Amino acid sequence: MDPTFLYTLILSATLFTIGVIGVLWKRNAIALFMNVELMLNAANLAFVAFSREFGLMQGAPLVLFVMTVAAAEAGVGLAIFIALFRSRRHIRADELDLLRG
Amino acid sequence: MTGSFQAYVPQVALDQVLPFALLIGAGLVILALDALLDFARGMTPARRDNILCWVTGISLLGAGFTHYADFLGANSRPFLEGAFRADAFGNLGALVIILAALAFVVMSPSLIRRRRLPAGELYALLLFSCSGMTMLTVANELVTAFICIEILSLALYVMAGIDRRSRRGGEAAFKYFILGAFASAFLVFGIAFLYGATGTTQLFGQGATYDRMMAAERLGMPITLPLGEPTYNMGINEVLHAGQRVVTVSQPVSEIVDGQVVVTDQIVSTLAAVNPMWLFLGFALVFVGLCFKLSLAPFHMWAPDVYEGAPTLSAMFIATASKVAAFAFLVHLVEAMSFWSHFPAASGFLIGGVAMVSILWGNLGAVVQSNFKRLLAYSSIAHGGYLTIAIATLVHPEVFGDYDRIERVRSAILFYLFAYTAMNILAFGVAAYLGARGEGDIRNYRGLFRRRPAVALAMALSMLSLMGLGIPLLIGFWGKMYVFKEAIDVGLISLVIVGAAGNVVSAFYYLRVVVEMFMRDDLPADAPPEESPRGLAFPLVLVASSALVVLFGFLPPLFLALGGR
Repeated sequence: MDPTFLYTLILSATLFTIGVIGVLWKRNAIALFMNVELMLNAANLAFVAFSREFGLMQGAPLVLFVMTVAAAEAGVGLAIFIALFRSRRHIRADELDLLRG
Repeated sequence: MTGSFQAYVPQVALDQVLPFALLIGAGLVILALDALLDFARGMTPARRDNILCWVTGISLLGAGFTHYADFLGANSRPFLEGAFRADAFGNLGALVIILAALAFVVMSPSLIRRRRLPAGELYALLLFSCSGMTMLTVANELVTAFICIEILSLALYVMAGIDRRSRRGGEAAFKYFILGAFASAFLVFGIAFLYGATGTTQLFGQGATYDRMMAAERLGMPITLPLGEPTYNMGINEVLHAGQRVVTVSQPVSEIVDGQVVVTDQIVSTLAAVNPMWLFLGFALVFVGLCFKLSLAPFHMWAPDVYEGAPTLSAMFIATASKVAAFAFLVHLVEAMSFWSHFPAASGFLIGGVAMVSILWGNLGAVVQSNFKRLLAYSSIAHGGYLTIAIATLVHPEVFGDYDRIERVRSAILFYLFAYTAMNILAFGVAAYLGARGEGDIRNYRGLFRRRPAVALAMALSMLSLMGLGIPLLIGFWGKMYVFKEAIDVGLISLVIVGAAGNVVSAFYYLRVVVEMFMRDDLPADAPPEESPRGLAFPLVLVASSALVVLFGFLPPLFLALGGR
């Protein structure tokens, strides 16, 4: 197995883990969302790594789909954040507690 | 270079893409009409909303008919380069989703009027999410499925927060969005690993490549495919069947043609072993991502908040349709992976564990709820758990290769999804009908039977049916019955015991609602005023879904008969 491939996979897994930890720890909505983007990009890196290692072509284009989806997600997400900010003047996730059973 | 290059032209059959095209097209038309109708002479907002409602309803009906026609002529062959595969299960799942969307559309005008919602946006989002869901039920490719999930989720996030004046709605949308995006990242990372393990993102391939690979393997030589030949028509199903995946290297190959050495640029494919660790990692990550979307414990934390904060009809659509779509995809995924020899050990344990935790957590959590919509959220977590028992049955080694039994389990899942949708349309429909009084504290239901006996009866019907085992002759009873029977048949006794125990606990909170309606009369002082909308729309939906709950309770095989099998 190509060592570069292995390093790329390890990097991808590390980025993904950082993203997961960030989502669970961060409190600001924008920071939360940045960590989600990090996780998506970790997946992109894994796609490219697998695609290159096995000489399969269709892995690389899949990255474009994921990136497009990430952009759409950012559009909707930021709109939701702005709507939330208008009514509360902050977007800290831990202070959203109207809904709690 | 005299490579035998053939231009590869994808073929699109119009009748196969018609159901999706109808919904997406209608969504775009709604957006355009919403903007343009204001310029029409004598147009009032009420008339504009009315037109939009009819256009949405008719396009949904059209999509339903195309799905039914597709179902009648179903051939289960992949189409659109293998991105979709419309089998009977997927088409019927799409019909259940369209049923939920139609219930939404019929009930929506009074909600739009009462809370002054933007009708055009709401209907367009409904159609877009519906297109994502119906595509997901027939998706045959992992990245296509991911995009479908995103299409439906992005629309649902906004539908949850469509009431911009409501602070709770904004909070619900925010929580739904953050956890939904988090789940999507798990999903796509898992897809990357499934791709890495199997070399393909298709679930079921078209088979031709596989046959050729096997032939070449028997002859003991690597197979060469001419440039331009799609190597991707081998699905995960075939790869796991063979236990081997394709590794492709593009390299010049020399051939002797008519006594001359000719260099042809060709793709050389060889077989390599499937990496079981990546396969498990991929499946586990995809499953966790789907668990978030299906609000299965321990990934359910968004559901109660979203159901409570979102407008009731949006909550109904999130609770029913999105779950039907995600379960249909999960069924197709585990079916495609049925040749995977590691299914029984680790993955069966994972799926069974999620089912157990969901049933326990959902039912115990529902007991302590005082808000009616939160109660329904926990109830839906528990129902997701019962459905996951059926998924665990599907991956059980005993089911492997027994196609009659697989068909029975799939029918049980489909019937349960249909039952779950009908019961929840009824429960959320009554809550939406009663307005602020029905959407809040359960104690606000006190004395409902005295004041509105028909509405109270419909709600009682829904609660007793949701309870499932205990009241036969209602649809929920048979749904659970089928799922439990199949699970017992393969020996998943422990899961069924947990399910039955959860069912006993569920009697407490479902019957509590019934008791409040029928036996208590002391309405709390702070109960909001009753604001039932006039008109026939709500009675129509409530009567229709009550009829489904009772009719299919008497005649459970009717559902399958209507389906033609």
